[in-house]
Formats: sequence, structure tokens, C-alpha cells
Amino acid sequence: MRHVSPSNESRIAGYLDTLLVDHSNWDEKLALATNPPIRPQDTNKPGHYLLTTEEFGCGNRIQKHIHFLNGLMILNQLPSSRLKTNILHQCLPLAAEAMLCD
Amino acid sequence: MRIWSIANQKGGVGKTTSVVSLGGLLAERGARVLLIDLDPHGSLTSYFRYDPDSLETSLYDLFFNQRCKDLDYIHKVIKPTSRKGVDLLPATTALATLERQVSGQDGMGLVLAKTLAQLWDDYDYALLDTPPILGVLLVNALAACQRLVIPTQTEHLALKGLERMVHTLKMVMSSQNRQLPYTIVPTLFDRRTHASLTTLKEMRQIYPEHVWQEAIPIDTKFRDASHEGLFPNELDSLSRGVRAYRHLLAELDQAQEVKRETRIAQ
Repeated sequence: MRHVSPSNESRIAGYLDTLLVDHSNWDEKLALATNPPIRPQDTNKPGHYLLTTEEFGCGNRIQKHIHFLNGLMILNQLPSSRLKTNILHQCLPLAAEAMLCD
Repeated sequence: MRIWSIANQKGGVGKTTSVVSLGGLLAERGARVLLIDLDPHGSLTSYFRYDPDSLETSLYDLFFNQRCKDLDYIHKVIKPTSRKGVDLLPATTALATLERQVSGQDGMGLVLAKTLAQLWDDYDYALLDTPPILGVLLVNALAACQRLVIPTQTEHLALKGLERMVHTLKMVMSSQNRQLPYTIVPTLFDRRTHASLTTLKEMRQIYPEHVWQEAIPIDTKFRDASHEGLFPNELDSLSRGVRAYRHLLAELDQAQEVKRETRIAQ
């Protein structure tokens, strides 16, 4: 079988992840997480609530977290700026935590 | 609705011929069919005597201003073909500029899937004719379809294109976290030539599970049908090529039926 160079592979993966990311219902899920449900099946242990995001992407993990944050309405509405970039990077650990619940 | 993409990252392998042939055969049995031209060359659009250079609206327009969710707008873009029950979502040459305009934007690979969701009850089948390069249009086709059909010319160079196509498919599946079944269809097969025979053999060795058991032969009737603007089965329903596509259609339908039954059983 043919060999695909890792740099080509990673560029294509990032490109596909951008085109295919669907964050249409992430706001709803975030709302669910910030207003915890009372159904026991939505908790993993008392006081902890699941924020389920779709598993997506074939590219690198940081990129997925940026997609996740960008998909949230509150950040999506901000124009591209240094402020937005800063917020995105500050929130990366939170995104990682949220996506671990997949 | 059943949605099949006809794709290969190599040109000249019989993608448009496959779309038109399968579309004509589906119409023959009374199915409502939508043919979608995602190739900026607009070969499928030209086949039905629409001019990709002069059309006012096309698939291109659905990528902007959320028009892919506006059913009235989508209906305005769709054109009839010479055959009742078969419609065309045409291409214009402007599609060639789409990559530069939208490819950096989140979710632009899902526009066609959203469009087809709007049309779900209007058609029984959607057949997607794709460009031979990896870009926003091909990604849209792969993201929207339930099955991929890969026409592959039975000659050595085509194997490279096939390999690339299968690799792209795997990456799209990984990105979407879903499985997409595919069928490799040997095309332009000429049993008199050594090249055709050896390539077909090689194809079956490399992809034993995915290569269709038959092959689409070279048939000049396809060219005649294109010249007349007719579906191949309208020109000659018993030609070798049309008979082969009839077998392929039965196979594709059966494969999708089996998959559906398996899903229900699970």
C-alpha cells in the first residue's frame, strides 16, 4: 500500500475536521451542563453532570478543542481578534475537560 | 431517500456516465430521482443541455446565507430533465471558486447533507456526481451520502486514484465517526486487452470485499446517448453497457437493503 507522509496526513485531517465539524447542538448541551438535569442517568456521580459532545475529527486534539469552543454561540459571535484568541487559549483546559466526558 | 455518491479522485473513469445510467434505470422503474452535479466542469449539467456558464442559479448558491435550509430556494435551483421523475441540481462554473471562499469555515462540508435533509420526502434517490479532486465539494458528497460508488477504469494508473480515494474515504469516516460502505465498480473494461484483465485481477486482490463481481464494458452507446442528450437506457435498453448498469443497480439496492435489515435486527 502507498505511504502517505505524516505532514500531508495531518494537513488533510485538519482540513476535513474544519469542514465537517457540526456544532449545531453544542449550545444546547452546554446549557444542559450548566443547568444540571435531575435525571440520574445524566450524572456519573453525585454532584457531577455529563456534558456529552460528539466524538469528531481525525486531526489533532487541540484543534478539536478549538472547534468545540468556536462552536459555542458565546464565542462564535465574537469577531476575530486578539481578545478572542486569548479567550480561546485560556479556555482550552475547560474544553479538554468537557470533551473527556464523551 | 437513498443517497449514493459516485466518486473517484481520478478523472475520466466514468463517473458522469454512471450517474446518468443509474438515474435512467431508476426512472424506468418509477423512482423519483435527483441528480446532483458537484463538478465545476458541469459535465452532468451539460448532458441535459443546461449551460454551466450561463445558468443563473446552481448548487453554488446553496453554500451562502443559509439557503441550504430554505426549501423554496432549493426548489428554485432544481431543474427538470428530459425524463419525467428525474431532476437535476445543476453546477455552474462558479463552483470552481467555492474552495477559496468557504473552505476555511467550520461545517462547510455539511451543506449538501442539510440540503438533502430538506428534500428527504421529495425523492427516492439522490445520485451525486463529484469532482476528481479532494476539496469542499467532494467532502460534501462524502458527508451526505449513505454509500460510495467508486468507478475505476481497468487500467494500471487508475489503481493509484482508487487507492487515494479509499484513503480519503477512511479519513472522512474517521472525522465523522461513522462507517460508509463503498463499492468499487470496474469500468471501461475491454476483455480483449491484457491491461484490462490484469488490472481487474489486481483490483480484486487488493480490495476483495469491495470490488463488484462484474464490470462495465466499453460501449459506444454511452457516447451516442450523451450526444443525443438521452439516458443510455432510452437510447438502447438492451445494450451491453445498460445491461451491466442494470445488474449494478440491483446489487447496490440489495446491499443497502441488507444493511437496513441488519440495522433493524440490531
